[in-house]
Amino acid sequence: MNAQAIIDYLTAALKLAPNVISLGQDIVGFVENAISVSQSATGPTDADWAALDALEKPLRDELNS
Amino acid sequence: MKLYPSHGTHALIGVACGCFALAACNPPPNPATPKGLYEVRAVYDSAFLAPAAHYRSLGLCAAGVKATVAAPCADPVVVAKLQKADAAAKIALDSAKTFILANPTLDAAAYVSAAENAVSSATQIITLYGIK
Repeated sequence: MNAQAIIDYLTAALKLAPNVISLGQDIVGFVENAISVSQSATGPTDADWAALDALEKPLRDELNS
Repeated sequence: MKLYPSHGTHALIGVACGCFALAACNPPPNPATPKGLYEVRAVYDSAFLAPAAHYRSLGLCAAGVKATVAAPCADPVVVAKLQKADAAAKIALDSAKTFILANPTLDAAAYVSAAENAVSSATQIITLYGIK
């Protein structure tokens, strides 16, 4: 998986998710961060993992509501 | 019917052996890294979790009612499958993350493979039911 694939998937998600919650701005920021992580030599930081958790929680809450 | 490989086949075998030898000297990037797992999870979030949550947000179909374009709703049976797949994927992804971060020098291929399989199974439900 590469940065372009992440962009493609998250761009698609951006179109799908707005009716669920106000994810728009979160996902834009997340895409930028995901690209940065994907291109970095060091890999994700604790903050990057936390960003994933923050993105997932409202989606998972909605799915399991 | 040929019993022996042709020259072309020999050439292919030679190329394959050469590639194998090169791979042995320069192994491909290990996907079982924090970065590799992060990418798997990012894709999972967008390819499964976002559309699954969107589907659930349509509201459950009443008993005996099928979704239409004019009146979309979420089939409770499909929602249950999505929830089950997500639970399995979350366990696999969390296990892989815990192992990789705690054991950076050990081989985490089995954990990442399990996570990738769980993600693949989950996204297949999205595809199967045409969830967008």
